[in-house]
Amino acid sequence: MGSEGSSVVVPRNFRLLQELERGEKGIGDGTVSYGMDDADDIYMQSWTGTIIGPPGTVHEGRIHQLKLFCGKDYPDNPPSVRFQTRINMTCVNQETGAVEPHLFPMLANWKREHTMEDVLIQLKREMMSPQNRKLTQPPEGNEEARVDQKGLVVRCCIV
Amino acid sequence: MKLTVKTLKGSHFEIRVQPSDTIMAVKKNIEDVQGKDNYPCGQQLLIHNGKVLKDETTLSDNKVSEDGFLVVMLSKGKTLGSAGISSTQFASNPPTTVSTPNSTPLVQPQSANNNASATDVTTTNVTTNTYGQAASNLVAGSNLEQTIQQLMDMGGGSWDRDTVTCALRAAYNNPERAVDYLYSGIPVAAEIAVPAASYPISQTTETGGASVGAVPGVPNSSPLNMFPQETISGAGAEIGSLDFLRNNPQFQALRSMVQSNPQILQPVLQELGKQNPSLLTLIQEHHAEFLQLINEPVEGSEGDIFDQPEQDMPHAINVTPAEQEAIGRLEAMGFDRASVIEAFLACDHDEQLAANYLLENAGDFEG
Repeated sequence: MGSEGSSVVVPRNFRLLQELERGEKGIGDGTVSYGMDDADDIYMQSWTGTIIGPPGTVHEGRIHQLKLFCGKDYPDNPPSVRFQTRINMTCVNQETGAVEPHLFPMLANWKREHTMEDVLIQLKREMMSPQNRKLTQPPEGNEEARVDQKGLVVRCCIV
Repeated sequence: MKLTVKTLKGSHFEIRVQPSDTIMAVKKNIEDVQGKDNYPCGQQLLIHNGKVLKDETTLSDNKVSEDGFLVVMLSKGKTLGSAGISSTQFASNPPTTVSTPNSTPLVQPQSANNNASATDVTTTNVTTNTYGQAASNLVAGSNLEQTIQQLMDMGGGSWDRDTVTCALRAAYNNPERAVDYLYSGIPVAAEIAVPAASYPISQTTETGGASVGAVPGVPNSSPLNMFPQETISGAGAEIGSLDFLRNNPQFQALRSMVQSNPQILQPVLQELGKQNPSLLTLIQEHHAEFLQLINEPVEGSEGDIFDQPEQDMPHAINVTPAEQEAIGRLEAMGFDRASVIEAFLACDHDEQLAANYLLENAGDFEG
């Protein structure tokens, strides 16, 4: 009780800088990694994350890319999380790839102490959960096709 | 710089790379360090700060810094390798596309230059040709020999000396008319002049004098002989004399030249005065009527006939055997000789540019 009363509230920017430094140092086993989308973004809102599918599941050998958006109210409120690659999971919207807070307990019961790394680690654990480890996954070819389409569009715009 | 590479199995190793290295180069580096069996570069996926790095980008593009770390894993099969190749093909498309717009502007200025150059050359040719024609109208002796040689050169060996001489005689030693005869054949009316040329000069004069009524219908074989007969006719009827000039082919050629370049009139009259003072006196006495004759519009077909030889004459002087072959090849493409020679000279004797010029302006030539 006494320690709770004396806790210090860390400002948003300091918190995000801590997470950025941790992401760059690569502490951990390397199966999850994350970094800022744009190094010049002074508000540090847009982030990119990667989860390598855990072995022993249908996700093995896959790399899932995600987008995390930390609004001005982060870390008081959780970030928005959305899969960029196609994935079939119980807590992920099939169309948009967004992680549904009401289906993902960490986002629903958000605590200030949680970090983006924690979110990624928890999503990886969710991939290993009994209801998700054997779900049929969309073919990986779609992933390549989508990437190619993006590249093609970009090149057309450039031309 | 040094990079730490982590693997999914929990191990890590270091590699030495440069910020300007491409991701593909880094993958080959990893393959060299760890062995082809463990991490074949075609199957490697490199991850940095949550991003899967693409093969064609560089480390600096992905903001990989000193003491950074990468995660390496293997993809299933060769799918990514194929995608990489496909990306490379896409990457090669933009340069090709970009180069096309570059070539288009280059063509336009060339075309404009060709047109301007052609105009300049045409003007120069007209000027040079007109002065040359003034002198060559009175071709005799060594000048006649030079003209015959030039016409033979123009034909590239297809016209022998006798043919050229015959055409010159039929055209009253007028070179541009002779060229027309060489191209399209000597007209029947002019053929009559051939046997007349064999008459002795005195006999020709007597014949002309004896039959005054036949004078307009019998062309002379030499400009020197024209003027005495004109004098006789002039003595008879002054207006008739000028009318006779109107029907004279040589006068028509003179009129065509004077209308295209009025400055030539005075030198021509001076030359005329040297050859036939009486005719010059007659012209001076009827100055107004002479000017009226000079200013009458040239008949369309005759204008065309004279314009084309005029353009051909100076070109013959400049053509060398190699250039003659090039002109022959351009003619084989289906263009007429005059257009080919004009384009060839306008493009500074460059066969390819001339062909390009002819093709771009084919509509103009046909019109």
